[in-house]
Amino acid sequence: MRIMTKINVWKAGSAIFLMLFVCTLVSLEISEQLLVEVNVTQGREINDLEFALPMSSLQGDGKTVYCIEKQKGVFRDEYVVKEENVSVIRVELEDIIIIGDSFYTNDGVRPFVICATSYPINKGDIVEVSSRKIGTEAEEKEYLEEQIRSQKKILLVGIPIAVICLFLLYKVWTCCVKVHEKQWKFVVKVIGYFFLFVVIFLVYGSFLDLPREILVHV
Amino acid sequence: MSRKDSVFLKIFLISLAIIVISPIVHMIWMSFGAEGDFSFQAYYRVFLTEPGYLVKFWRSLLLSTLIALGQTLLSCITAFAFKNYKMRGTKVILCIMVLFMILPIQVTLLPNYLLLNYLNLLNTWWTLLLPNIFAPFGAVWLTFILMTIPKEYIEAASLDGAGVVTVLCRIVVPMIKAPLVTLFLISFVDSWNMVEQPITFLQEARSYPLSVFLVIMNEQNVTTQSVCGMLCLIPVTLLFFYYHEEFVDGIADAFALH
Repeated sequence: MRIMTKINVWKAGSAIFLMLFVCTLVSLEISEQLLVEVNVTQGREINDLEFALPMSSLQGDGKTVYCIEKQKGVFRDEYVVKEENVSVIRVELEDIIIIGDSFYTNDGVRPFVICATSYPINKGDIVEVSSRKIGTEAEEKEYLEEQIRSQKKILLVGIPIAVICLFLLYKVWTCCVKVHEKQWKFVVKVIGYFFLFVVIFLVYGSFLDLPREILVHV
Repeated sequence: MSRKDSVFLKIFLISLAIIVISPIVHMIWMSFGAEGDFSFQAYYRVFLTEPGYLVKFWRSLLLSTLIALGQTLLSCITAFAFKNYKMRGTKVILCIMVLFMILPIQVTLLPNYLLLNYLNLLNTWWTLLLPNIFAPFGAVWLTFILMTIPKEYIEAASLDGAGVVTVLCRIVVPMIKAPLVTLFLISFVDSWNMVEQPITFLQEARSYPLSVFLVIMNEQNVTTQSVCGMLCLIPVTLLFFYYHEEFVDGIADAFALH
């Protein structure tokens, strides 16, 4: 009796820890996918009191810009969006604004200002500084569609996974057919196969780059 | 016991069980959404989108396992030394260890901090591992347990040619298996729930184990706190279910000493 209890606890514990391990890997993958890509700039110095920033960095109210601040994350440093007030002196050309000397950090260094984002952001969001040039909304949509089309290569991995899922479905069907077994054993087997289904779909789904809208609105 | 007494006893025990279990039930209820909004949003956030919680869970699990294993191993060796080797000052050392065992943890925080600062170990895992692995409780308790074992077993093994390690591993450890498991469980639970030492010795908040993180988490985020609380329950519950018979035997052995 003691050994049977230990075996059952061992099986349950192994299943729980395996699930937690899979969830850890999946959450690391999803948190990467949820990061909004941004382009940053420190601006161009005109003189000691004035320097220039792109017009796109100015927020709708005309008084604030978004900057990034480095903070320590789970495994590496990450960038958090913070809001800074600026005083616009004048506008030169269509895409440059000139701001005064009020815009410095406590260390006397100009912060990195966000001038383009792949998705709307708010204060406190964690973002990823991207080296690729982020375009207009239409260009970003086309880029996203291109990313999704490139996932077709990963869909090939779905073939062996589909075979495994069909095998598990067959086992569930066999369990259902064997109704002469004790009911609780049947329920335990079906729960076990359902658990395997969930694990397989979680692992497979984490390899796909799902659109941000799906991840945010689940 | 009369029937009336047994009914009152049952009512009393059921009431006690309800009082003990109700915080856990409340926590499970709150994890599905506060103020009546039923949703799995908190579970989705903790298990799938924000990896910080699960990473802290694994870190805490590794830390607690190392502390429990280290303390059990060292306590076993120390207790065997106290049992087997009689030399001048053994009783004095044992009395000092009992005194240190009685001291509350808060009293030893400052001396430990100064020592670890001198050793340049602050803000590393060694600040949590070393003081807990070398805790005196396990050594003192196992020493008293080993005093109940007749020396003839050890002498007979030595006469048959067994060395010190063989006597310890093949003779002594199987005889004190239940108290060893109990010590492992107690030190695991103690290190899993520790709060003061990480706050004092670790300077970066991201290095805190899950127990501390639960305390400093935003109080408005009750659902996420509840899910993390349930996460904290998993290892301890599984360990208890796996070792509950050895745990009961170990506690019974401890009371049998008296």
